[in-house]
Amino acid sequence: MADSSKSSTPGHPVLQWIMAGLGLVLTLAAAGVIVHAAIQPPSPPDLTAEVTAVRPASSGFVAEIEVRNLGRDTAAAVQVEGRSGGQTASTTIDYVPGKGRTAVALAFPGAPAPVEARVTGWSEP
Amino acid sequence: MTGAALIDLDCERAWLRDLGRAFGGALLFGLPLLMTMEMWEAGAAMGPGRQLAFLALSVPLLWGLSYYAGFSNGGGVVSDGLDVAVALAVGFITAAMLLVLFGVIQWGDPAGEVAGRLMLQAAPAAMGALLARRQLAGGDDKDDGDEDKASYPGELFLMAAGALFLALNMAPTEEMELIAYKASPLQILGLMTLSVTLMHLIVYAAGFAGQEEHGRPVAAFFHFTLPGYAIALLVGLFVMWTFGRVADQGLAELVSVVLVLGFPAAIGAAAARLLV
Repeated sequence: MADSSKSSTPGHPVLQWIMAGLGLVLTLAAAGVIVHAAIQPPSPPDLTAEVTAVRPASSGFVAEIEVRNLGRDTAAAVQVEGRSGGQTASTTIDYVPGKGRTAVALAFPGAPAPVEARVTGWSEP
Repeated sequence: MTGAALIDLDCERAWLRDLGRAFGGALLFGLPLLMTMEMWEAGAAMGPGRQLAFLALSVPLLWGLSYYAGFSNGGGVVSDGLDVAVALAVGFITAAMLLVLFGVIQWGDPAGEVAGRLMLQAAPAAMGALLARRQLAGGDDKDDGDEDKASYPGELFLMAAGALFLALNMAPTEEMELIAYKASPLQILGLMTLSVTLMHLIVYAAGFAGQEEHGRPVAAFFHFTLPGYAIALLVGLFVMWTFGRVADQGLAELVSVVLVLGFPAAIGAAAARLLV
């Protein structure tokens, strides 16, 4: 092994080879994931909102909602609206990445009641 | 004989200290970006094309930095390549650890988003890791770096690296566009004049200009300052494109933003000699 190193370059510590190998693997892995994402056919955001829990709060009640993006493209400024009886509540999420999920909460007055949630719109990032 | 040459504990220990410095440099240079919200968003919103372009530009840049300021001793292609790979490992590890601690990267996040975020942060952190030896080393290492024998293209390369580093720290924030909107054309022109003037002063004082230009500020201006400013503006444009800010604005606005970003980029380019 020592024969293969040139006389001009001093021997490299084993640790250096290990770290260098790690760097190569990490970089190639990250690039591989991104290339994989790049060669996928375009898939616009496809957002769903699902009520995961309704819990009482000090004033009224809170509905916890999970917003999922089934598409591969990222959606920005995602608006989520919830209805319970005659009441509506809404919030905006900065980003929901492709194939990602985000949890939001909507607050309503009164006693806990069933909530219907839906995504009303978003913009391209 | 070979066994003794393979694992030399003193050598390993000394290199471990270099590795520690590399992590220190990655933290020092990477923290401002790691704690910037727009960088997290860009990692998700940039799109794979820009991310790959960013990585494709980062590797040769790191290679060049490793040639001029690598943290391990000795030269040659193998050494430089090892330095780049180690710096990237340090960059990725630093970025991953901190973004997980900050709660930016969470379990169950899509792989593409995590890879994008990490890569965007790992490259500047790796720059810091490579510069660490020069910045954090004590007075005992006098032989580090080859920047003293940098050729003219080498000097321009160092300027590009310095411009990229400072521009990258500013560009993700919305303030660049805000400044461009707030400043009148006259003020933008003033900023441009200030950029070039300061750059020339730093270039001249920091010794970018070689012996032959010493005492000839006008020659140095055309030889280093003007090309340096052009490089700073191009780097600024590239960074703006990377963050997806080029497509959706008019030419006049774009030029204003690039000139605003060109101010820190020009300072970075001029000060590169002090950093590397």
